[in-house]
Amino acid sequence: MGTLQPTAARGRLAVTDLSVRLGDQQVLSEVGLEIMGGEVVGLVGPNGAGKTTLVRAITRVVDVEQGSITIDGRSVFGLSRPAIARCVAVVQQIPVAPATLRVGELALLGRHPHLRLLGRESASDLRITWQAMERAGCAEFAERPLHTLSGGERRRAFIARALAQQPRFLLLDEPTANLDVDAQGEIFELLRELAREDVAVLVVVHELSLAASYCDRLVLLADGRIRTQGAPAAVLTDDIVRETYGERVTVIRHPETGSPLIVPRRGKD
Amino acid sequence: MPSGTPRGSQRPNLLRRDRRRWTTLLSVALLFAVVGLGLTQGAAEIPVGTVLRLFVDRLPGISIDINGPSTWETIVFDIRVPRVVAAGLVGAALAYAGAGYQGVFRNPLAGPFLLGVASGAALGASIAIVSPLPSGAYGLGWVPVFAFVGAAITVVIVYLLARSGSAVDNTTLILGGVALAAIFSAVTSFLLLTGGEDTRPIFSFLFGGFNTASWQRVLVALPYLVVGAVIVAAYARVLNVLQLDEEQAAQLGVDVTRTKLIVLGAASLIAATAVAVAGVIGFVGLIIPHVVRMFFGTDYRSVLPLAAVLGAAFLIGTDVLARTVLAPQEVPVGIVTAIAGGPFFLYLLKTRRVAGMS
Repeated sequence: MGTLQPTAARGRLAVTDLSVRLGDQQVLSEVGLEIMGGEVVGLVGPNGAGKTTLVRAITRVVDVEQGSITIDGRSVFGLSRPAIARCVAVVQQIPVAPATLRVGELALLGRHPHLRLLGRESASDLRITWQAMERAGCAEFAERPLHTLSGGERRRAFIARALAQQPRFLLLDEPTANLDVDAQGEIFELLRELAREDVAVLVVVHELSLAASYCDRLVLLADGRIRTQGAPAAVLTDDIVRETYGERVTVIRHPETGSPLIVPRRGKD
Repeated sequence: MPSGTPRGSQRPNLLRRDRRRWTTLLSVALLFAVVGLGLTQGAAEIPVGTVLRLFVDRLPGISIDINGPSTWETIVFDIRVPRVVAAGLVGAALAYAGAGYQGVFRNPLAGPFLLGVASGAALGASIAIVSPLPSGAYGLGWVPVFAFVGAAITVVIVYLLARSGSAVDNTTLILGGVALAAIFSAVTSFLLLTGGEDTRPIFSFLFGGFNTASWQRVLVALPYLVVGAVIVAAYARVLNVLQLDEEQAAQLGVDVTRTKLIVLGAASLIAATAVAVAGVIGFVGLIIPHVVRMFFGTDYRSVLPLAAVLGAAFLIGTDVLARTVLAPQEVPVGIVTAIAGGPFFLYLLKTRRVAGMS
């Protein structure tokens, strides 16, 4: 890692030597990674590897034991919360929101970091919010309260809120969990589209095959440490996958694209 | 990815400003109607026309025939107007503070008395009543002053208990408030039992009421209420963000601890002032914000002012009941708020979803 040089146009978020301790649990140890504008980076690893904690540490909602996190070379610990929120947006795994809140009202909250304390949403804030909802595919149900939405629709509403922040760095924690296979593809197509506009995307994924086919790079986290990172084919080798996920898991190749497919093998009955 | 999305003028207004306009009008109309009741109903029933004439007569340079007993003027201006204004202000203050508390805690049980404001105030008032202090101070009497100080001290203790490092834990805040309330209530009960003849005013403070309402009291309370209300109002949009949860709010740029500290401090100032004016009146601050969210949505920029307007209307209305149902005897208004408001709220709970609390 660390070979990419920042350019003026592309954003760069760098995590160096990061350790996080929650209670007496060492959750992250000496983690280092970079994401650049224009790429989709998949953060993969078994349950409990520390993926969600890494996302939370980057946005300063957990305390960091040691290490540095920088955005375009500036430490996030020296930035105000609104300043961070103006360039980093997060889509949480299971985000909480009032049941009667409407999709449009939720998306509009994404404009918060761009407003002053006494400011109100301008016409341009409303326009940006509508564009975010259209891109996330939830504009047609903007008037519906959250408790009437399906799992996939709800996910889109929260992605719209993140897009309304107009982030240069987008962090998503399992945005495709509980979605059908086509909806998963739609979400990742959107992430690729954002990357083409020079947004840097870091996405926590459990479906390794999905991560392999859509991500430019993968970062494999296990037991709070970076196991390996690089191109999907280099990370998802048979040896590494078995070592991380166990002997039951096997890697095959997609018949058309050659991208790695990771599947468990049924044991003998 | 999207298809058939609304565009241009067909897009619904995300801020729902049109909707806000008529709900505000309706609530203000209700408030006026209740004020009318408050001025005309009572031991002497004065016709609406006469009350209007009395007001017109007060305008500079106008003098009209009142067409009723001369005592009516005294009754309206020296008794009923201050009473209606006091009830309205206290109702507005309690509901507004309650909305602020619920906004911070995202907890349907949160109310203006949550952090021990009521029990702290009650203990302060009880100490003032049993102590040999003279009855007058700052145009208010020592009782409200002590009540205010008791409430303020309680909130500060609860806050210090719940603070650890840079964070303030909601559960510790609430439980700390409950525990302190239990201790203070016990001390208040002890004073009631051992204080002998002097303790009757403690009861009237505990039930709350406006039978001692005066312009002086209203004017002394007003600055605290205005300052508190302006501070909470400035944070209305931040409260909207806080409805998600504290982590998402922080990721959207909210300084959660500072927001909590400021909003709870200002809302507690409002609640403590209301208690100092009228004693402990339960229910208003808990129920009115819920009713507002049930009917008018979750945007705190509407919830706060509407809670104030409807809280005022509710308490003026229940105060009218308090002084008419058993006339000439008065029922403590705190009893009426619970008996009149309780069944109504239970009905709403059964028929509608409690809005804005996930």
